[in-house]
Amino acid sequence: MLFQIDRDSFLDGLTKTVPISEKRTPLPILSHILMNVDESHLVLTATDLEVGLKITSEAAVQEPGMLAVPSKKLYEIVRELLPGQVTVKSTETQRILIESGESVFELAGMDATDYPAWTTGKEVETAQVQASRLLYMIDKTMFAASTDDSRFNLNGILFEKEGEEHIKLVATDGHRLALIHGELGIRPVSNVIVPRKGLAELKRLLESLKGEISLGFEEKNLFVSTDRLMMTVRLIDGDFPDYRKVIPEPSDTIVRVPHSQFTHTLRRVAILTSDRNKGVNIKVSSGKMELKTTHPDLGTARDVMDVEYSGEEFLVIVNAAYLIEAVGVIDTDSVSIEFREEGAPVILRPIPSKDYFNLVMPMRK
Amino acid sequence: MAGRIRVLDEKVINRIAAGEVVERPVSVMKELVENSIDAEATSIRLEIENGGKKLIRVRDNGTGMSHDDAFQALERHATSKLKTELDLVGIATMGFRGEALASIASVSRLTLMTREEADPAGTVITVEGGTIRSADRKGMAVGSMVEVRNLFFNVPVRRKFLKATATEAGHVHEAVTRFALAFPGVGFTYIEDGKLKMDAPAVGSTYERIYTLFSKDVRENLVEVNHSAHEGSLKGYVAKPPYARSNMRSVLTFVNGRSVKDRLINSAVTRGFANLMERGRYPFAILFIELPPDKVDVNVHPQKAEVRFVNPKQIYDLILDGVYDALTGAPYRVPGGTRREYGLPRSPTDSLSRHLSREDPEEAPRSDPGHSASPSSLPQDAATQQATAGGDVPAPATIPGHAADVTHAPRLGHQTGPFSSLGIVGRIPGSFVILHNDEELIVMDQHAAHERILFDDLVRSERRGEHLESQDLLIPQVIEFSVVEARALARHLGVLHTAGFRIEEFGEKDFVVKGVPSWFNKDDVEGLLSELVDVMLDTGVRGDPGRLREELLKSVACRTAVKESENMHAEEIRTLLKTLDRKGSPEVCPHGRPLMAKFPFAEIRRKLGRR
Repeated sequence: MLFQIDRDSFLDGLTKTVPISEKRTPLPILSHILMNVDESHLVLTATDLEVGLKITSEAAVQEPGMLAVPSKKLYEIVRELLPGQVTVKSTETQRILIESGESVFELAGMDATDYPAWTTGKEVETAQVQASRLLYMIDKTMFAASTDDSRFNLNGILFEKEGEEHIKLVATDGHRLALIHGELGIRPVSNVIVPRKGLAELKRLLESLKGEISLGFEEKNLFVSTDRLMMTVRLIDGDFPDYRKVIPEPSDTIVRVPHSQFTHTLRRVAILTSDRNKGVNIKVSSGKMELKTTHPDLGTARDVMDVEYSGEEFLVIVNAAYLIEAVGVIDTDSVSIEFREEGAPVILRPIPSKDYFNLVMPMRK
Repeated sequence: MAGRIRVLDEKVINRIAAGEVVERPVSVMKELVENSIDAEATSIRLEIENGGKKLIRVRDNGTGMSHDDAFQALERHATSKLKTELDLVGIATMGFRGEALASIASVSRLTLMTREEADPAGTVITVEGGTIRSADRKGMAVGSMVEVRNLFFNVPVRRKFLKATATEAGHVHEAVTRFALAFPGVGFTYIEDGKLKMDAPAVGSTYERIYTLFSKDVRENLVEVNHSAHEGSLKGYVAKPPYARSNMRSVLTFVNGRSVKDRLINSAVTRGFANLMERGRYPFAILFIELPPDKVDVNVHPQKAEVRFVNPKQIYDLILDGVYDALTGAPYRVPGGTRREYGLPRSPTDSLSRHLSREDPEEAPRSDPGHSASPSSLPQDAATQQATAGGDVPAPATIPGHAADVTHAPRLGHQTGPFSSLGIVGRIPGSFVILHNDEELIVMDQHAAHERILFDDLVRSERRGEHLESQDLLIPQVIEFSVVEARALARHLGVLHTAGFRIEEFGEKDFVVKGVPSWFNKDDVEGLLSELVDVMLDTGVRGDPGRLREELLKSVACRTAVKESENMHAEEIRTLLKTLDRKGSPEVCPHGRPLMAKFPFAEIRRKLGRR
């Protein structure tokens, strides 16, 4: 293997791939990046077996070849090099020489054939989707996914077919739920769960991209690709709970609140919550909403805001952090909050209504 | 066949009674010492040979007896302490059955020497197997002396049942210790085979007596117990964990000054330590229970070791609450100390420190950051103290590398407590926190420390009647148990409700979980419930909802505490230490594991080959 590559283009590829490989792993080869050089390209590959990413860069190749190289060190070296051309060369002894100006690095690599193979999804049907649209749908739901590894089937977002055209994304941790539906031009073969870990990488990638991407699903994998990169995310095997049962009929008890004022009021009173007292007591009466919290050791907080509501007074306790997150993903100036009888979910929706809503189960004392 | 049934003759009766009263040397010794105490002695000298098998001698400076009384005393049921049946109800003296001397005399060679103040000369009577061999008048000091030789010489079967000399002597020593604790105002001298084993001069308080009797590590860990409820009161001292012993023998309890070994009392003491002791470890406790005489029956056992309470539940609660509050209350009440003291003051009185320096010349008072030296320290003590503090104390230094995240010198000063006065060396990444004081390197388990704080908070808020929050589940979870488990769980649902679980029965073996406590971050309800069901099965037979509740609170604390692997910042460590001080928490986690492991610099120096 012998090629020249522009330092900035090399660094860009590494910046995207290294975070995936960098994680602590019992398999040493996974902390390596696979460098695969064909006639005119350098392909960098990183995987942690959950997520895989392949990035192609233009290179002036004299001699094709393959080698797995320690990802973090390679990244650090390239990052510190001066702009310009970098010459990369492999030796007989599975080492790699990196030369730029007067700087020379020799780095021990590993046999490329040991690098885990992963599915490339070449034959999968794909659709062109705006990266920002997929990102939007993930952002509206991902916060509600469980962070507890022990419930792996809740540990991600459900991608579900809806009707003939639509797709629905649902996430829940058992205490709350977020749902968005819309069109992506393509739907998974069956309902699939994209794990939180893969979502995080996917999100980061989508944030760095502009324009359209190709999205494809396979039974066990999700693919996102552009002309120069491709990401594979492994899907979770597991049954997503039947969330439909818990989404109630619309309620008449609706309170309308201004978004930013509600958020700020919640944040203020949430200061006096604790690990064991997470709830905010919400008392709604005609035109008013009173929010109260109690920290068992420190004290209490109380705040009142004007709201649009006419009806009987009621009281509900909701986890303050859940409410803050739920309101946080709503992107309109007004929020509608639907309340129900004790023990039934509280539903938050944007006003005017959009393609998403989320739901929080109340607490009791 | 007439005349078969006869009234037993006096000697036979005495020998039968002896079987009840006198079982082994220690019982003889106890009877005699009790007599001495009842005779208002202020100094008692005990001597045994061969574990008491060969000789038991008790000499006191009490009131003594007249010539006639001395003879009377050797008769069965002869006592100066009771006159009528009515007196039995309010017994305030040690002995009362009037069996002792006669019984002992019937199974040994006994010499009684006694003199009343009014009498110009003392009386000497020798008895052998219950028969008076000689009686004489002799000049002696006021008081009594009883010498018991060759115990059971005429009852070979009994003699065979006696244990090895060391065992018998051990029992005697323990009993003397108990007496010495119960009667600090009486001086005790105890000699075993000519060797002085205890020399405890009369002192003003039990606490000073403890100083004489117990080693430094016990004394340093004692906290005061002082609790009253209903008509009873509980006073004394317990050693705060992790200090522990491997058996129950260091739980010394007294009811109205009488040493008892009562199961109810012992179980209450153990309960009081329940969240502080590891399994298989036992507390050190010296506890005095005072009750009106009509609330306790001491006439159940010939050796008076067992007692019966009129209201056992009240006694149980009295002890449990007293011990628990002393161990968990903040700050510890420490004898002679100010409010913020955590250890026993080094020298409570001049006479005591004199006593100490004689008995324990090696022990110099240590420098003690955060504590003021006791004003009564002798001048040379203060000098030693300074030398220790200013001498070869290793100065905290910044160690380059991972562990050196934070380095603080121990804070000296009067306002800080024992935890916050520790210097922070740093933390091992993903592991424990390293601290130090002047003398030791200390490894702290931050998870255990945090757990202890949270647990104490929880217990306190539970006592205030606070309910824990419950988070409703979006999708109720159905969990299946075995039939036995299900039955246990069904019985204890109430406890789980107060802890924030909303669980309902759902068929015979299934339960539906509709809500979980909000502290419960992890979603593994099934795992937590099966842990709790195990506890229920463990305790459920006896129906101990208290323990289950504690077990629940332990889970809460354990699951909300910082993990060992979580890295804490210097400020967080500092705050943790301060909180430990503020709460005055014992140095163990709710499961009874110690919070800290200490490595004296002296030991480290030795290991590094430095002297």
